[in-house]
Amino acid sequence: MGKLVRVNMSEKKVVVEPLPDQCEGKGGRWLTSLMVSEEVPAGCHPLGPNNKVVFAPGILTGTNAPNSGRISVGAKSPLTGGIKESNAGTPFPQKLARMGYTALVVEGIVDDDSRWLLKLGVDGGELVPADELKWKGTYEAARMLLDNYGEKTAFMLIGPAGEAKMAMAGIAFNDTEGRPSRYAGRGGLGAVLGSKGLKAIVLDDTGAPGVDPVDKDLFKEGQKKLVDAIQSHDVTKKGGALNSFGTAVLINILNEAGGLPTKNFRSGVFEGAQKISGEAIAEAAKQRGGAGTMGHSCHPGCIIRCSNVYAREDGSEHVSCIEYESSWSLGANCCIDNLDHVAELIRICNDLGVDTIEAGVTLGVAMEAGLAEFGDGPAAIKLLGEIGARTPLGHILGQGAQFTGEAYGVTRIPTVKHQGMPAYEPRAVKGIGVTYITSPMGADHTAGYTIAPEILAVGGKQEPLSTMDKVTLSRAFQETTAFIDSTGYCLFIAFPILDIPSGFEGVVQTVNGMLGTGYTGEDVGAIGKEILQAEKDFNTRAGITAAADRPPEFMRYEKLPPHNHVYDISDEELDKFWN
Amino acid sequence: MTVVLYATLGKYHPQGKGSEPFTLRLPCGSTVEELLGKLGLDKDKAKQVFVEYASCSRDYILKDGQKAAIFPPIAGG
Repeated sequence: MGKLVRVNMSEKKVVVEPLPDQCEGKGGRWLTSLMVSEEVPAGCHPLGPNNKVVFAPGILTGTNAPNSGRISVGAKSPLTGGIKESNAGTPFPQKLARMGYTALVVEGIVDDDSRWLLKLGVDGGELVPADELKWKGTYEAARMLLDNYGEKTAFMLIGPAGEAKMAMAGIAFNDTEGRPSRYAGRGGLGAVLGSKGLKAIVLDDTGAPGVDPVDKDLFKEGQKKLVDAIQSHDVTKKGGALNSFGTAVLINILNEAGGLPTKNFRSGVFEGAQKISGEAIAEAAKQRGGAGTMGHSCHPGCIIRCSNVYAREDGSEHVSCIEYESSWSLGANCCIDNLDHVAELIRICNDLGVDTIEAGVTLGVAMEAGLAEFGDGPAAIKLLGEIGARTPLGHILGQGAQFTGEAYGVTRIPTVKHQGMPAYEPRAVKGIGVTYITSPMGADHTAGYTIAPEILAVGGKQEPLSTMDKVTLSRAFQETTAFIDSTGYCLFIAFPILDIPSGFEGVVQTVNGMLGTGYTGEDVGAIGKEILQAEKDFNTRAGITAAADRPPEFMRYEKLPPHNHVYDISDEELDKFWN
Repeated sequence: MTVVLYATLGKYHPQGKGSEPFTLRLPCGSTVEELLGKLGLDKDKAKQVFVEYASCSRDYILKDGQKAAIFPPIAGG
């Protein structure tokens, strides 16, 4: 039986309980969304005493299944006002799971401006005062934690933006070398922890019992099938595009498809795309040498290795990592084509503890408002500095794109449910628009990545500009994704398993081997549907209705070059998603 | 016409310049298939070819002055 840790910030108590029956056999997003639905009043203030933050490793996290080191974090979001699940790949949940913990719930709230650190061991934990970490950037705070608790310590941290309760604040976890760089970034979960006064968690896994599958043979059979699929598929194999160029390998193909949002979603083509692409990042690593690394992994057991370390001209480490979404949001979306400026913007985001997508979308809106010129990297760096300095302007920006746009009277605000849109233009790629619009999470590409068939020709091929059957396509992707987000597997396993049936079988077999269940391929969609429905129901109780399942109005009337399309999937069609 | 070879295909650049665009002369009425043949790229290597911001079929007839952007199998997110 699994264990549940409850951390009460009002009473400063840490209690370990047996996992409730209804939580058994669940993990990741399945568990966070179930627990938030059951324990958090939907009408509560996200930063008040009744919200809770739930951490849950995936079902397979802590095992040696490939690419299974994800953790889900759930709560009511201060950005969207709805339920939120955001996940990250990091060694942290692998240790948490091996220590026997299925979930960790942070509840209550501090009644002063104090900061606290949770020290968690195999037999329980304690909250210790941590005012020495107050307002520290994540890099300095991480160094202090590693100095105090050992270089191999797994940790969670929030940055100053979370402490200031800003709605773009994320939650940082350690990477394999102790950097605070692996983010559950989306939806302002860092602000929820900030409201509770919890600055950090450190894990001491001494004496951890480990994780044992119920049916080891079945688990191993599934594991082998999945490893074979990942290692043989062209995009995930060693030396393939993800491993060699990182996720930013997508910059050029989205640009060539006319779907790379540029200048705050005014165009689908960015002239400087090549300069901020995965190819440019790999070339810099080669030319500059030093710390520059491609093929970096975010957690042990990752066999895709799409992360990177970007070096300055002198070879010293600048930041890890430059992902596609960050290179786009802080690059193309702001018309910034200088990779060193983009790297610096990412480094500042990581240090402040903010979501790079929301930060970049917010900067695009701020540029639209005239707070800086498009293309001006140093001015963008200065604007992020306002967040760090917690000036009145910094507090406006820190609340995200929607809030900033409203504060400055901007009408071109690319958000759904107040969450900034990621790096794919819905007017050029219609299916991903359905995902942005209908996901209970707000605009989130990972919720249903229809880009695979619409742009990448993975898992079949769909015409990106067509509106035909895109609601059905997005629904299928969203259901499967909700299941994958519950397993602890990295979503990138979807690329090989979409094309290689034995890889999909391997996923189901590893889950069945782990739990002793008899799930079939059909159950994957059914479980995903159940998770989505619970999330949708929470949002309904929170007052988020079908009226929020809409694109931003400007996308209905502003034609996007080069295809000159508006977003033309009708409201009636969008409403069919939940029917 | 102008050709760009992205990601792992950069090594096929005739002057060894990776993903830098280069000019290629093709007979009038050449198809995408013929372009790939001239570059020595088989179907497994060149997964998609984009012309005029759209993924083209192998029998698409190329026109003078167009740019062909050629991609290996890629993904990300």
